[in-house]
Amino acid sequence: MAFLKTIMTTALALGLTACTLPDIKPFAEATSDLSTTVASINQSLSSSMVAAQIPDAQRQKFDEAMKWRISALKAMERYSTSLISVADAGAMGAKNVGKVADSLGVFMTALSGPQIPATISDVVKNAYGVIANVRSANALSDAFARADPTIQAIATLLIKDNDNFKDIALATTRTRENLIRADHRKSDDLDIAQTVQDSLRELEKSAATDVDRDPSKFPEETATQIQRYTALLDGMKGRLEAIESEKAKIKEDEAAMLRLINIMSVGVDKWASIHGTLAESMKNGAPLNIQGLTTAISMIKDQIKEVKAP
Amino acid sequence: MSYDWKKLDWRAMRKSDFHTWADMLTQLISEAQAALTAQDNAERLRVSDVLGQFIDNSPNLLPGISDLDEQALGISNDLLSANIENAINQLAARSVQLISLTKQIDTVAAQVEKKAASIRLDSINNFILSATDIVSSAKALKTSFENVKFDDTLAKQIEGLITQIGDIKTKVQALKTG
Repeated sequence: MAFLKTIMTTALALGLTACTLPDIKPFAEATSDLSTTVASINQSLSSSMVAAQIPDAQRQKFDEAMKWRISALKAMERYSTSLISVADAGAMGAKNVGKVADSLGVFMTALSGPQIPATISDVVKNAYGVIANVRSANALSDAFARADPTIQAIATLLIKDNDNFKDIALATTRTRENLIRADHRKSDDLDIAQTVQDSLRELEKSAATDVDRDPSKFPEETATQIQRYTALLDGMKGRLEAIESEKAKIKEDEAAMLRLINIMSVGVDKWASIHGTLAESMKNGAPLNIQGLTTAISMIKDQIKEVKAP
Repeated sequence: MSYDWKKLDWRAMRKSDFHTWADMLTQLISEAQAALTAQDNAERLRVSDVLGQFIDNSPNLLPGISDLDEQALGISNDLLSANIENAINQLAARSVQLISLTKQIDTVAAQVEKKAASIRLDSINNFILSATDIVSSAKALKTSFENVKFDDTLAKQIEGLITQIGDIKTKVQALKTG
């Protein structure tokens, strides 16, 4: 059993102890959620551009630019998955070696010789597992260190993108409002309604004296005119409400898109900053503080639900 | 006359004549040109919003106003279109850098995946090595027991252990080759 002695001696000499690898999964899930968020922003802005009747050439250029954003986020998802893969490899190494060591333990018990150290099977069980674990830890630490400048640069770009996303959101919703204005100019509905409302307000104001503001005591001619204007407005009510509802929907879309973009900025910032601390966490074995990021991601998810295609 | 759009009472302005509305539009056109020249997105949006208010409040029933509205609408759309164009151009300009960063991240991911595969394979190799050594040691021990006719029960236990480890080894080896 020379190999057992070699392993035990090596393990003890190196002072190898099983280290706890950080739980990468929340980070990977957050990366996946950010990817989904960028896809949602893309979808919302694309729909808003279509609704605003933005020319095809501009929309194609936007789609092309967004293709690279989505591709970058997919690459980051692959990167996160590879981190999980390397962490799992370490755990799997320990598990496999554990199987044979357990069998060895049975053997040791059967011999039950006091001259054979009882801890030897544990050493065997741990040694290869620890080696795999340390290799995983080193691979992770190295990956974090090498990827971090790139991750930070991508985050900076995505945050800059958000200003452009806001500009597109605002410009497309205003263009949609202009489309309503163009339609209303053709029909003159809103303008007639506004004029009638102005006239009605003036009539009521002039008819009401300081002494008596009771409409039932207005001069007969004025009262008739007020009734006519009111009836006219009532007749237009359906169309006016439809226009107002359309305008309100545009405002809702705009607010939801802006909220999503703002929260995306916060999410990307936190995501990048947590990645920056991962290498440090690997070095000192501190648990990964993922809470801030998951809170931001949870807010983002809520926002995605709110954003509906125009 | 210069209009302060923030303080303007649009409802009161509805009673103004055509020339007043034309003056207002002239000022807005000048502001729009300045915003376009300065390539200032926020300013273009602000002027566009004021043009929207102009259209919403101008009395269509006043002769000639329709033409002013049409002009205002066209300018507003031009300003908004310039903002969209500008935003898309800036996104596109950063795409080149983003493509390069994406390749870098892909490279790291590929290296990490390779490392994970190597750790997995080494774990399997180490397992097979351990199992082979244990089986050899157990066989040697069993042989030594047979020579001295030591203990049948223990010999059977060792035999069982050899079989057990051999089975696990075969399964793990199959994982490696499969």
